[in-house]
Amino acid sequence: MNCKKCHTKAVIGLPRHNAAFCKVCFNEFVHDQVARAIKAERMFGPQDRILVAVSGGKDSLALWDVLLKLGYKADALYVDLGISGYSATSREKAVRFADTVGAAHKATLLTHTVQEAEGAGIRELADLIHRPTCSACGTIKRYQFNRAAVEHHYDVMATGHNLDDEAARLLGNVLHWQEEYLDKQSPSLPASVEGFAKKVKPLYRLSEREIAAYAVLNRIDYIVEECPMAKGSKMLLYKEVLNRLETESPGAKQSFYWGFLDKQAKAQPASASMTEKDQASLHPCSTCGQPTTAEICSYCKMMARASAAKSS
Amino acid sequence: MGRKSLSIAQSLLPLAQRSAYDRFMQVQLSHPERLVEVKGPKRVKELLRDLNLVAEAHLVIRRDELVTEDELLRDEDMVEVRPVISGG
Ligand code: SF4
Ligand SMILES: [Zn+2]
Ligand SMILES: [Zn+2]
Repeated sequence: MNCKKCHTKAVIGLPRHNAAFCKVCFNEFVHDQVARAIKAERMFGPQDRILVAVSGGKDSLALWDVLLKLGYKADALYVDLGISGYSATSREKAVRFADTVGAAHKATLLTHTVQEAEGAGIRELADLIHRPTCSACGTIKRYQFNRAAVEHHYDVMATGHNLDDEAARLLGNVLHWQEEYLDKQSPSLPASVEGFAKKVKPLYRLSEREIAAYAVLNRIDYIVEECPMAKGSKMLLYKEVLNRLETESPGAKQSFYWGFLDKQAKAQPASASMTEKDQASLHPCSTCGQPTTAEICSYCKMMARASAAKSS
Repeated sequence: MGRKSLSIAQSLLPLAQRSAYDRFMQVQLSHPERLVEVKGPKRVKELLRDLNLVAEAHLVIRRDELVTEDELLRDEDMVEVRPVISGG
C-alpha cells in the first residue's frame, strides 16, 4: 500500500477516505482535520488561551500535541481520580508529556488531586453516596475542569472526544430518544452564562483508530490500559457495533454523526434556544458560586452527602 | 497436516508440543494481556480475521512501526495488536 499523496510506502490505510498515508502525510492529514474542525465550528482563534482536559490517554495527549504544533496557546489540566492501579500510571504519562512536548512549547500542566481536595478517591466517594463510580466521576471532572478554566481565565476548554465517542453517544441518545441531550452534542458549546467556560471538541472529525495511530507514529507515550471502571460500559458496546458497521461500510460513523450535525445546523434555532434556556434557568450555586439550575450545584450536593456519610 | 492449513487454534500449540526449531510469529494481545504464537507468513488483514478482531478497532504494530493491512508478517516478526477503543 502506498501513500496517496507522495507514493512512498504507507503506514496506515484509511478506508473511510479511500486513502493511505505515509507518516509525514498522515500527520498533515490529522493536523488538517483538526484545523478544519476549529474553523468550521468557530472553536477559538490564535490569541485565545485554551485549557485541554488530559487523562494520560491517547486522545487527550494527541489533542494537546496537535494544538501546540498548530501554534495555539494550550495548557492542560489533569484530574487525578485516585483509582489504584490506574491513576498513578495515567498521571505519569500526562506529566511526562508535559515535561517534554509541553515544556518545549512553554505550555503548563495543572493538576487536581481528588484524594486531596475531596478527601477520598473517586471509588470511595461514589460508594459513600451510593452512586455509580462513572456518574460521580463525571460530576467531579466536569466541575473541576470548568472551575479551573474559569478561575485561571482560559477562553475555552478543549476535550479529546473523537468521532467514535460522539457517534456512540449519539447512538445511545437516539436509541433511547433522549432528545434533550441532542442539543449538547455539538462539538462547540458556547459559554452560555458567566461562570461556564466554552467547551470544544477539536477531534470530532478523527476516528479513534486514527488518533491512536497519530500517537503511535509520533511516539506519544500514553496509557494503553483502560480505566478499570470502563469495563462493560454501554459506550464500549455502542462503539463495537459502530465499528462492525464501519468495517463493512467505511464512512458509516462519519455519515451518522456529521449528518446529524448538518441537520442540527440547518435547524439553527436549537443552539440559540439552548443558550436562552440555560441563561433563564442558571444562577450561582449558593455554596460555591458556580452556575447551576438548582439551589446548590450537583458537585456541592455530592460532597455534602459524602461528608455526611463519612461522619455518620 | 500441511503447515498452510493450520487454523489459528491449531497454531497456538503449547511450546512443548512443537519441535525445538519451529519458530512462530509472536503476537501480543491486550484485554487480557497475553502473547500468542501464530504461523506465518500471513497478511495483517488475515491475522486480524483469524483472531476475530475488527480492523477499525485495532492497530497492528511490528517492532514499533505501524503496518498496513496488506503487509506480510513472517514467523520471525514480533507483532502487537493494539486495541484503540476506550470506554470512558
Ligand atoms: S471509566 Fe468511569 S471512573 Fe473511569 S475515568 Fe471514565 S468516567 Fe471516570
Ligand atoms: Zn506521503
Ligand atoms: Zn456548588
